[in-house]
Amino acid sequence: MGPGSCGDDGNSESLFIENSTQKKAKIETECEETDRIDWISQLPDALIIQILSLLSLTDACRTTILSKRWQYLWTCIDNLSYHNKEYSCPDSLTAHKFISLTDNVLPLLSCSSIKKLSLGFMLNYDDGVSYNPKIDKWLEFAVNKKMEDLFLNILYTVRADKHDQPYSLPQVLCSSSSIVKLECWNCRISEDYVLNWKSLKNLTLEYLFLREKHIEQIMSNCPQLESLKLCAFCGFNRLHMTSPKCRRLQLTDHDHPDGDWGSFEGDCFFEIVAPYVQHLKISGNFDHSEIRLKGLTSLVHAELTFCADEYDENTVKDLLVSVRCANELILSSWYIKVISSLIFEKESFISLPLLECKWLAISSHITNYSFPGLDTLLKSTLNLENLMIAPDMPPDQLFPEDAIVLSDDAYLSLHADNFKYFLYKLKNVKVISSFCNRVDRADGAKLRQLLKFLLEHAINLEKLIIAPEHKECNFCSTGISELMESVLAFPTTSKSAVISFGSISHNIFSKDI
Amino acid sequence: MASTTETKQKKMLILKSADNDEFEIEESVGVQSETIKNLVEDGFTFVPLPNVYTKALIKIIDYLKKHANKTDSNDEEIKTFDKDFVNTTFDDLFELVSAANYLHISCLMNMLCQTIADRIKDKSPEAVRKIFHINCDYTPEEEAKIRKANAQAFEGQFDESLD
Repeated sequence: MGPGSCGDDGNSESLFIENSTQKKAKIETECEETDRIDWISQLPDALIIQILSLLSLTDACRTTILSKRWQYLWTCIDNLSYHNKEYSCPDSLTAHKFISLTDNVLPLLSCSSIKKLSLGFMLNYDDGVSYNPKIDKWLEFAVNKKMEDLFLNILYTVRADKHDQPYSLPQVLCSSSSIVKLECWNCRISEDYVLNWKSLKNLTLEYLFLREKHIEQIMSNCPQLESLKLCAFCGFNRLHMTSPKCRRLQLTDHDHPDGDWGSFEGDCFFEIVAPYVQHLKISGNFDHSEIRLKGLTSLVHAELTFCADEYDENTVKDLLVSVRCANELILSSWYIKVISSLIFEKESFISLPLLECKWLAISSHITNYSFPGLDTLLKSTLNLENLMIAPDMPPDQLFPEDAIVLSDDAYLSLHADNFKYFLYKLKNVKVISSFCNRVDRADGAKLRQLLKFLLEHAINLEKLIIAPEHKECNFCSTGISELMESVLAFPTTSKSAVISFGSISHNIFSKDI
Repeated sequence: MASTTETKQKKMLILKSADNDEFEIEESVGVQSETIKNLVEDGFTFVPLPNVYTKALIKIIDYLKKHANKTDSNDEEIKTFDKDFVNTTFDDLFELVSAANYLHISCLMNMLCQTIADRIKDKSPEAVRKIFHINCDYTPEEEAKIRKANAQAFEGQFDESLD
């Protein structure tokens, strides 16, 4: 019986209400009964342990008190995660208590092997108390249990009156044969130890002073290495990637730590020789350092999104020459800025080496200043099939207004020669633009000019997608609509070109560009 | 987007639940389960699942279908689906865990275990007991003794809420 059947008949209505209340009451008690069942304790041990392995060590340890069923389950977890909260620096008493958990917990852990250990401590190095022996104990324990995955971040706070004393990796870890994935922050590798990780596939080192011989040891003693990632690194000039399985290299931020980490004097340069690397990413800040890339003969995907303060025409050309065989190329606005600035300085065009890439993503706003750079770059990518242009940093930051002083004549002549060539292979273009601040809005004309060029000169164009940078922004959607209106009025050379609105996809090389 | 001939060629499987309901799914959807994959590799197209009840199986087939069609562009959609998927009663959640464990669907297992683990994370033992209806069978003396032995793990502030 449904509510629709009650009609005007008083009796049937009251009957219905009575029935439904009884029914409801019955359902409620049933629900309460099933709700009160202790489902979790009924799961098999292996499943409970799997759930506990997803918790931090202290959360898992606390479940010992839940009931007798739970008393020893937590000691079987094979994923140990122990961090002091939010890396806030505790007073020495708290730190001491925190670290002493080690003494109670380690002897209890009964798993036969450890999948993952994650240790993150921020400690004050004072009062002559060193926690290093305790951390050593953890790592020795884990290495003996054939640990496969380690995340280690031991941060001692630096005090102005004292030398920074980073935690030094114990010897037993430096030669662990079981470790497959290692991520290590803020530690130090003793000069006397030899790195020998025969199963290691994935290595990430951050805020680390690395000696050249350690780099060499990584290359020669880690035959399984597939991916190397260095962030905020320092200490060596040569990175010869001689490990044939290592196909991924990522470098982010070159750091200049000093003090006890060892000084690194003068301007740095890196020579990276990587004949086996297929995926290369260099990002972040490389001020005061020069990157020389060599022998990248297997390169498929290159992302050069770093910025550096020292460059000239040759530096830029050399970098582009070394990644010329990459099929997919991502360049930051820094390139556009450098190329444009060089053109403005010389007041004439520069020519770039021919690049073989079929996919190109450029992070740049489209402005008067970025135009010559964009033009020069597109001229050297004649095999291009897919192009994406998206802004990264605001244009006024990239090109400060007083940075470029140019006479009107020179400016006009530079612009008159822009975009005169054909892009025969270009099929897909995606342009992401923002319309919601003053500077961006002024770009509309330039963006229209670029799109007009593409529609006229990419004679086999199949798809042009225009997307707003900000979803659900009124300015962006109005701006995009206006842009669309004028773009649709442009003459199109390609007969099959489809122009449409799109959304931002984070994977710029996805097939639905 | 597949053409009709391709659709005809698609290999199908029949899954039979513990309560004897049968479900036809594409082989490519089913093999995300290691258990089903092993049977398919041995030539089976009819897969009896004596440990999985219809109610859980319907949900799991939904999940497998969604995840079989993963592309770069429907990432968000799948995330929303997953979020709704685990937003269910304990009754369902634990039945799904057992089923996913039996079927060896590792991504689903991880998601379900994480959902359960999140309900324990940062909570006081009292709150965990209430959330999962765990009956404490320690005597007060035993409880005090265990707390003392693991004192560091019981220090600090914990989340007492039941959500």
